[in-house]
Amino acid sequence: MFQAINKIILQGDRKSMKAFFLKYLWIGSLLVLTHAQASNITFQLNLLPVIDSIKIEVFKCYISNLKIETANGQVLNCSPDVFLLTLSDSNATQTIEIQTDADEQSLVGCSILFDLGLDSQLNTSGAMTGALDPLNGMFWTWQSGYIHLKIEGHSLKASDNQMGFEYHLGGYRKPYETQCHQKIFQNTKDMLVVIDLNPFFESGVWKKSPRMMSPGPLAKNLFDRCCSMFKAK
Amino acid sequence: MKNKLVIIAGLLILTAFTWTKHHYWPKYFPEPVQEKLQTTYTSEMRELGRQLFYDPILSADSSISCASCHNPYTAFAHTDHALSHGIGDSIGKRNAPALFNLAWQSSFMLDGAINHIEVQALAPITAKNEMAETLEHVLLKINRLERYKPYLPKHYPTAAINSSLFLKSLAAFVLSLNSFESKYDSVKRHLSQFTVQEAKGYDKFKQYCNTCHEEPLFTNNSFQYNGLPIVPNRQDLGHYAISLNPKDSFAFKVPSLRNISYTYPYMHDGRLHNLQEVLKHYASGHDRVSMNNQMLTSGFPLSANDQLDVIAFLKTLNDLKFILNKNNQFPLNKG
Repeated sequence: MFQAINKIILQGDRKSMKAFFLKYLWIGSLLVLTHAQASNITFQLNLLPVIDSIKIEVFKCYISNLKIETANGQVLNCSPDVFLLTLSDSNATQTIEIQTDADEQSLVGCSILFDLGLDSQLNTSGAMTGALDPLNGMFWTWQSGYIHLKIEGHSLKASDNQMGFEYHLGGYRKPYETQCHQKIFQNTKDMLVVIDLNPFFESGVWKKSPRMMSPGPLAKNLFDRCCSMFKAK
Repeated sequence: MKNKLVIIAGLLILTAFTWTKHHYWPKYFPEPVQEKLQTTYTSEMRELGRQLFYDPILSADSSISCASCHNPYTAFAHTDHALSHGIGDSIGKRNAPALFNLAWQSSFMLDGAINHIEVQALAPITAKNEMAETLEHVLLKINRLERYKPYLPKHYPTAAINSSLFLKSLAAFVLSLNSFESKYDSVKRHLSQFTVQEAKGYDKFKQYCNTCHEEPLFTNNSFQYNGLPIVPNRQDLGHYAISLNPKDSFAFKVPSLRNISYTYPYMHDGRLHNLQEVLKHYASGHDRVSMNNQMLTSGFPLSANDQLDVIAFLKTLNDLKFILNKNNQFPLNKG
């Protein structure tokens, strides 16, 4: 999908014309100035300790507006900047590769910035492909909009067994929009983000409200709890 | 070199002055909200969309096509039942709306659940009481068929019809369904005149109906509760289910009144069978007081004769050319 092209940019007046040699990456419709620095971010589902009694069959979520903030405060765009994370008990880590306009040195001591969920523009832009393809099972059909975060599973304890849980959390209309900003400090070029489900399940919410499949105040409330799930290793 | 540049610049300026944009819509229409989107579609996509629209393979048991509930001969409405039905004799909770002039709408379905025309088709395809399919399986089925091969645009980067091409093509077709060739339109173009009765009805219409059924589209695309008694066991909350705003309880999209003779039965659940019943409903008023329009509560002061005049006017909104437009009907040339 990536096609590297080189371009010469001319700048200045005729007498002192300067040539700059720059590398570009053409990614989809985005033209991104880059030093062709690829970085990996690995997301890892933390399944311990409360979760040892709960089986997570599906954990899917959108992260968007992915950016890198370097140690000196410079914010760099990444491409692509929307990802669908697809994790579960049996597949608890996922590594995404990003291209960013940063050299290796400036990635030391950086932070990863992203939104959990999608903004209203992405929710209202019609048929899209890639991470946003409705084939990914993250688009509601009965009313338009993406499921921003999906958690499905069941309890392994006999007493809870009948109560599977199914959370399809989303919504982009105010005041029930489900999107929150994340900033995670990292120390290395290859970064690791841990998704800790414990606070969500420790609250016992899945016993009280085991199902949520439409936007609204309860979905927003549950989604907001998920905003504290993402942590640095 | 310099002369050449001057000539080219001159030509460009001349072109800019002489080139006027050709609109497909009448001068008395507003600009379609979907115009920019429409320019991204090709005629090949529209033809693919047309083929898909009439193909029952979109449903789980190949019994229902889009046209089953959106018949071209009734302005793409569903006239034989109050509530539209899907596969296996399942029944829905609404009367399928007519499809035309959708390029002037920014949300779709009677409750406004759909925020973009390209994702509209996902709703009926996956609804258990409509087509009961999955997008994935529909794509698998159509990509197996030889009859879809000619519709694959040459420039398209994939060798198969993917979800994006599928959805955009259906959108291209339904957005192309334009209706503005009624008698009302010919009067607006000064090519015809209303009869005395039609003109009287037009006056009454402008006085009482035009607030919501605003000309020339005959809808203001708002969501309104019009006072119909609530059917408790149907559990259809209307636009409230989408906006979660209590003032939208039981509110449905104001439908266009164009092609009104073809689109019976009336109201979101098809409970009124003819225009006489509709006019009677609006003239009688009702008890509910929490309505946006006070006049709806008290009832419009329309005498029996006034009601007949309004109906005579409404019939000038029928667009027979649209109904008979072969370019919108089942494609016989391919497939």
